[in-house]
Amino acid sequence: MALILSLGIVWIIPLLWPISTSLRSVASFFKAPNLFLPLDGITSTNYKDVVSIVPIGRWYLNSFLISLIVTIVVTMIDFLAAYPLARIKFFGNRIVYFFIIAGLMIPFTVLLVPLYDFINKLGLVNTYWGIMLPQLASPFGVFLLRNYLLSIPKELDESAMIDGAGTFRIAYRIIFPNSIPGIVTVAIFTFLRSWNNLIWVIVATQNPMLYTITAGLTSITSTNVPNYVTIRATACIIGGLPLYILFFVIQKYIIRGLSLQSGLK
Amino acid sequence: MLLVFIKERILNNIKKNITPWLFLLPFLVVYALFMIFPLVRGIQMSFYHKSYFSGSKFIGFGNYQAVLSDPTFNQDIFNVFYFAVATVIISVFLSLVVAAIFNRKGVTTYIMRSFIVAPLVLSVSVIGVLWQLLFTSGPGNSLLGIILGKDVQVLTSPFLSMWLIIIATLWWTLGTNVIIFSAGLQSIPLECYEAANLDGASSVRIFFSITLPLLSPLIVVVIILQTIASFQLFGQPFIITAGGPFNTTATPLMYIYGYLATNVGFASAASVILFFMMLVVSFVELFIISRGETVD
Repeated sequence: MALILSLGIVWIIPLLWPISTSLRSVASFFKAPNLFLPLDGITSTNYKDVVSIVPIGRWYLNSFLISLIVTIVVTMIDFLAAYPLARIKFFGNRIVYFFIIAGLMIPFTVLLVPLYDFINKLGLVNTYWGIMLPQLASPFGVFLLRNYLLSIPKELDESAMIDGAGTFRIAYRIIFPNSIPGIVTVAIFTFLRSWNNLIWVIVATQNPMLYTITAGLTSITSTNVPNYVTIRATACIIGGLPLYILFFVIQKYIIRGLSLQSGLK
Repeated sequence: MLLVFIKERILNNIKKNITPWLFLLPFLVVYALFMIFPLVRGIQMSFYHKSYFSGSKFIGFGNYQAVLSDPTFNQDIFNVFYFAVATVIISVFLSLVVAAIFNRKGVTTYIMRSFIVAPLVLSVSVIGVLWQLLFTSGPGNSLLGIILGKDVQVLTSPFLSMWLIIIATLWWTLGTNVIIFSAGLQSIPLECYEAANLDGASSVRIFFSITLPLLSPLIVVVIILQTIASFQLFGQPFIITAGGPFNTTATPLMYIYGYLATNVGFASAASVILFFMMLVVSFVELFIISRGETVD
């Protein structure tokens, strides 16, 4: 038990320092930069300053909108693709499934250069479209949802078919409501991946007003920001803490997603 | 009458075979446009030299020769290998131990495990900024100095910089593997342990003779996933060390990023080489692991 407690505590310690730094004034920080707790008084100046120094509100909004749109589109098209793969016998089912699963082997690294070339030719560099479009292809979501849909009993479709329901009706009325947990899992993973995407955002745009919070954080450097340490620590907390807290709410879905991914049920 | 019947059957048959493709269509379009096409195009571009004056020119393996003879790229490959070997070994070992320790019920255990897992939702920027600040303006260097008994500046030492990146990565991603192994441990039937207990097996013996073999398929998955992720290392060194000191923490992906806008063919060749290496390493791992299993 002592081991469990100490491991957990070791893991939170690195987080305490930026939290503490973000709550201290610049003067008190330079007197004692190593404090893990703001023992010399709490101030909210850094949080007021960071908003006026960098467009952090705009970055947050960008992150939120980009991730939300990507998540909605990906979840929708991945569900639509997973449905026939899991529930309908048709010519080419196995081949197309294999073709999609092969996509899991393609790392983003190898797509980076041609994708940049592609959106450059389309004139989409420095646009939201350029940032979002390449994030829409997610064979991982199809893989995960197909596995989930396979676990729904076949009798449900059959009884609906006897009642005269067509394929579209079954997908919408029977399969969709029964696969909500799987869909939520895919949605959460897609959202997190889009929110945390760094390399594609800094490749697709050089305009700081289009940055997401993830890309924006890296652009705060000692050369362009006064009181760099406290401001950067504060931006780091603003960028990270909401997700960190959200984790405790959505933990169940993350565990399910990782178990499905590794082949466990 | 019969003709109408046959016609209807054929129509029905076509309809039955077309509907699934209608469902698949949106995904397949996006997949083809943003994965398959770029993949093919990237391989194609790697054989061309593109310049603003003479347009595209086919140069065979010229880009590959240029990339492979660049000492910077070779250094980057070495760095990422070092990083991958260290993270894969430590992460698999540590997450197995953590999952085993935390394999019990109770609120405290659940909360403490959550603390270990939670960083995985953070972005690489948050991770990078956090650890970079700790070791530039924060207490990192002085704390480590106390432990080692001498003054250290982590970010000016090639060895310590790389290990800072490894530790930051472990802090960030260990939870993923802990969750996978925890789920695996819970799926092992209790009867296995009861039978072993009756036979008087020690807990170490039980771990090596029951737990480990039953978890081995998961260990393979974790090793492969961790390897593939490690080879694409970018954000942590990009933010924490900017590749320094003396290029000792730079990675192939940072190299590709550097040539992205100036020399597409060259950057494509570097990406294809990296992709190829990832494939080879994954297959070698699979081969070694599966052979090890048949020998047992």
